[in-house]
Amino acid sequence: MQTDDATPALWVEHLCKTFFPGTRLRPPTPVVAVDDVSFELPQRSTLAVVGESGSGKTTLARMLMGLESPTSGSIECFGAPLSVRTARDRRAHARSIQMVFQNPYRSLDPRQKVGASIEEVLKLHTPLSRTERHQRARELFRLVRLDPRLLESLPSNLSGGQRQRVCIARALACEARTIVFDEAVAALDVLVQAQVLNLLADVQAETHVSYLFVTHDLAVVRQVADDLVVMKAGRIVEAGRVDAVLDAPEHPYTRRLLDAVPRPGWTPGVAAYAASRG
Amino acid sequence: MNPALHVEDLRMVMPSADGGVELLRGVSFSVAQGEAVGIVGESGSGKTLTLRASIGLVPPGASVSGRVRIDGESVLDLSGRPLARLRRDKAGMVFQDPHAAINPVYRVADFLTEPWRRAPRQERTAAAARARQLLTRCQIADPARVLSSFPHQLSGGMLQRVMIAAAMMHDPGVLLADEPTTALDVTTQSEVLALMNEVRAERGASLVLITHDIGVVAAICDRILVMYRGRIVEELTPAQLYAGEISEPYTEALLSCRPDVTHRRDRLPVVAAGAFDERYAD
Repeated sequence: MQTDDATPALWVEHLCKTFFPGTRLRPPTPVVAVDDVSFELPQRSTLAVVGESGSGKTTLARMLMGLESPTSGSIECFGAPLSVRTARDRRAHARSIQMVFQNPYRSLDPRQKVGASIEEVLKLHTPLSRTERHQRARELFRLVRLDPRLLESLPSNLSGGQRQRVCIARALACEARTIVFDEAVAALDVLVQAQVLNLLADVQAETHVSYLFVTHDLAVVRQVADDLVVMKAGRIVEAGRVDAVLDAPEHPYTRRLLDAVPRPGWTPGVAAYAASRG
Repeated sequence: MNPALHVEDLRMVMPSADGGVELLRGVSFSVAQGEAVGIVGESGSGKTLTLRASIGLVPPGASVSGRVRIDGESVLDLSGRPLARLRRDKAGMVFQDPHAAINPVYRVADFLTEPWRRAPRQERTAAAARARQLLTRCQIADPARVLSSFPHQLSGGMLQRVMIAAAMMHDPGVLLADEPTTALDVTTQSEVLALMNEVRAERGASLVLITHDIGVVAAICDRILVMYRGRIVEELTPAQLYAGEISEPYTEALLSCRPDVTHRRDRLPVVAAGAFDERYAD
């Protein structure tokens, strides 16, 4: 694949996803989860997708991963249209884009030692030998500030923060060029979160990886992202450089999100109530 | 007047091959009636253990000493029915993940009125009415639909409101909340916090709120307790916090390593694991 530095890591145009949930008793009714979403993630940069629960952020992330198929619209990774039709396609796609899921309690196999789950990724995607894989797993653990002795642990013996770092190490393992974080730092306590955010910045400086952060935490957005899109009910309501959008939000919804961030003198709820009434 | 919750020299040791791990190392605090107290600290600092031990929930195998009194009753001396009664009548608990903490096979109505399952019909009806009234109070627009739903049919924010209603069903003297909004997005977080605080203040209940977001605690609590490695290392008011009148470096670290929504920093300050162990050793 021929790419130069100007080719975006991800390019999304007019992306739509409609679900048809129904039950035995209720006929399927269309639910538009993602509605005409377009954006671009340049190489080596970080894009944040923010919005409240139900705004379609996770569905968007899952489509980028090839876990959901778009109803319409197109996705390109490094200039090539996303295809996950065959196992070979899916494996190639996984090599270029990896995801860290929201819930660290559900995204690791409870019966697999965490070291083995990282080595499995290496075995699938790299030509490393068994000892090299083991070595690399230790390196990755040190990279995410985990004690390599924990490689032999089962997920149940690790805390939520430790598990999430295992997932991040796993996403970094095959040196994917894009990593999608779906609320991946929300579950970490502030001290660990600070370490992980610094770490991600370091990795990006060293390896040219691009990040897509799906989050509702605007403080994290300010810290890590270059660009920002704000989603509401499946649509992008505001987009731009992070500093521009957060310093002078134009859409009332963006303002409402900003008002909900705790700060000195903040009273919870008042802003949100006012916005829902007005 | 008795404090709503009084914890004195609470210690917890988990036996292990090399002697035992001290999980709580002498936690003491008191929550007055109607007061809101927040506990902050990193994961593993013992905040959840303290909260759970206050209603007698102790991890299996751990040995506990010290005193916990809720409304004058000594919690750690109770077991069986009297303990169940205390948990039901005097302390309401709100857990972090509502989908994990609410029985998935009960409809919300049955979950809320479960304690009255064997009560006389009149009381059962009264409980059902109260459930509906509490849900309405918790800003649920369509209580009838929510009452007949199963937990998996509701969103996290909606279900967290149900859990607050459940905790308030018996009009407890103290509401204990363990990271009640960590799983929720910011706008829902602010609504749920406001609601929890209003509902408990209306009824004069005290609040103990655990979170790792010191900003949240400062917004709704009268006092903040900072925990590190199983003990309280600092106690301060939100006013002191915002005025920068902080005496402990650990509190300073907790505050400074949060990303700031108003500006980007070159690097977030990082605290090495165990950096404060020496300072807060015995």
